Amino acid sequence: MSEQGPVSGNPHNGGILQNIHIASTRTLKRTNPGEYMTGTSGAQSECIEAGIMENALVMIAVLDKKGTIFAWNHTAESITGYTKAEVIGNTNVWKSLYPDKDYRHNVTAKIAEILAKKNYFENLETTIKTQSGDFRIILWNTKEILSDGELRVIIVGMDVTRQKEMDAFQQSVIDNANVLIAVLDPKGKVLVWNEAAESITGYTKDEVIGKRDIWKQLYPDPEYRRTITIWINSIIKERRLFENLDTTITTKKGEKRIIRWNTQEINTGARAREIAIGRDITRQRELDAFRESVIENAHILITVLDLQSNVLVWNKAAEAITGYSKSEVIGKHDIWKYLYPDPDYRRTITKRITRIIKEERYFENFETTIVNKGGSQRILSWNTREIDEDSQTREIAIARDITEQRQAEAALLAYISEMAMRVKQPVEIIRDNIQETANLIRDGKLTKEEMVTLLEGQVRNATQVAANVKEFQKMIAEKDKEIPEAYRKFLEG
Amino acid sequence: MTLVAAIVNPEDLAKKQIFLILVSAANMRQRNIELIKEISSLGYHMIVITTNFPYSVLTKLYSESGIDPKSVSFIDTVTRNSVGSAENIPRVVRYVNNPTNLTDLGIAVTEVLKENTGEKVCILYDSISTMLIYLASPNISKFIHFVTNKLRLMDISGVFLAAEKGLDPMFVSQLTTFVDQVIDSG
Repeated sequence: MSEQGPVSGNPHNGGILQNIHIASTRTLKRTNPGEYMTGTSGAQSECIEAGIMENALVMIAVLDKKGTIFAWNHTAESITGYTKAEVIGNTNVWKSLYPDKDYRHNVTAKIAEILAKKNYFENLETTIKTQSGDFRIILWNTKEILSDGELRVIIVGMDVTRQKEMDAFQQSVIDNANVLIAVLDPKGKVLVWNEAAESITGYTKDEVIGKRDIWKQLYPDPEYRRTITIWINSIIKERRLFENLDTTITTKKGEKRIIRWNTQEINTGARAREIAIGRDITRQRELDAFRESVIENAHILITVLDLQSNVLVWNKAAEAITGYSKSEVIGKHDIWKYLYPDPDYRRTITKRITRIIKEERYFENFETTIVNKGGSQRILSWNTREIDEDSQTREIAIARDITEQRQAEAALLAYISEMAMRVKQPVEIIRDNIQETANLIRDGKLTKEEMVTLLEGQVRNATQVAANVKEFQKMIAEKDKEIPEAYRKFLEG
Repeated sequence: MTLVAAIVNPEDLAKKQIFLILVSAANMRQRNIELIKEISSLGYHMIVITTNFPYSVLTKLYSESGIDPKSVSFIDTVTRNSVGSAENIPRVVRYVNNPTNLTDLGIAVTEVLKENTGEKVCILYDSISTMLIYLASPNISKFIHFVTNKLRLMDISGVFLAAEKGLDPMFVSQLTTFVDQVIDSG
């Protein structure tokens, strides 16, 4: 072991052991345990160095060969809660700091193991129990020095409890994030691969960390991989990061998942890191596709308009009902002029719509008659709602083509009217004919043959009326398509 | 003359106009007799298309009401339907097997009108309401259209009787387009 020791460049203690060595060497000569702070040497430089040791932000203790503590700085007091008076000149503090016998033995054994190989240890992490009962994680470094022929050990302990907690918290956040997080070094080697990354891709940390070939596995198709690489390179060239880049990965099981990537570059040079965050939007995409499919294939006209009345959505039913294709309508706002070519009618319905929207912000079952591209009139029943999507207000309008329904209703009304007419009037006529026949018989004005003719005539009439009613019932029973279901139930019931 | 004047204006009749007369069902027969009596008294030969009472009974009723039987001839759609067969009597009665046979009825109208060519003729149809027992209103409309066209072509006036209540407004509306006047006689 050199005088400088292995701790001289230790980033954790900043080479403080070297300074402590100097201070303690000078301060501790000619002193008994606990006296070094009194500065019996009187030299100003020694006092400064002792001050450095006393005020260092790390815990410092100086021990003799037997473990008797000679020095115990202020930070050691504040971390452990044990004062100089309690500690200096004895070896008892270690029992207090490691009250658990087993743990103490483990730590002792580990120290002994290290010291058997070399006469110092560095970055040994142990957990001490402070006087107040708290546990602190300390990172220990030691150095042996000779002072007036006496072997002394300088122990520096850095309280890394907070840092450990932060690391654990950070690791927990990364591991428990529901997004894929990967951290890459400048050469593309994966340094971090969180649990979400494992569960989304199927590749474990062991399979990924320290390697660069995960991307080949995630993008097995060379053509697609090449396309994505070109794409990413072009984005990075411009902005050094990319946002909301959607790609389709292939998982270990061979399933396809759509990932929305965002990247962030941290640090520079050799310590530069690329953080890639990927959100699995497969389900969202499926839902979007499902929603689009529902809208597209609905049997009702669905259209979505922006605040300027430009058409954003125009589904298949809209095309079929109006005759106007998406390409003729999307992004434009003049479709209404085509659907309502009569200016007076257009003005009338615009007024009504404006009034309704002003009062209620939407309308329900609002009937209008459009003229489709083929020139035919269709009766539509409109319902609208205002929707907010991506903080933009839009109007969704749904229209049902009720032309056939209205025609059927008219046909049914005509049919019912006809049947009512063909029952009521004939029954009255039969009644009056029979009454008249009875009067004529009573007055003796009819021959037997005439009576028979008249009565048989009324029987025939009545028979025909009954047949007419039967025909009406049959028509209902056969569920004539012209009769709407609601009316059929009403008529049947 | 009073009644005719109250229901059908003789001057309009003279102009060969065609009338749809709406009558309460209970008064249908009575109104029939009154119209025949009054119109025939104006010198018209009446051709009665009957779908209700047979020729034999109507003749009796008309005679009782003082109507000259010679001033009336009939197209009877009732008798053959009941008794099976009946011989036509030229210029008096022509039988049609049943009221649903509009072709035969149309032929009968044409022939009877021909028989009375040159005469002052008025046709009386009794009644549209009874036809509704056997025929749908669109078919009746077509037939009435046919008959009214024939009357206009032959310059003959005509009267169509119908029960005043229970007619589909659409049907009435169609009928009104075929006639010159609609009179509600109550």
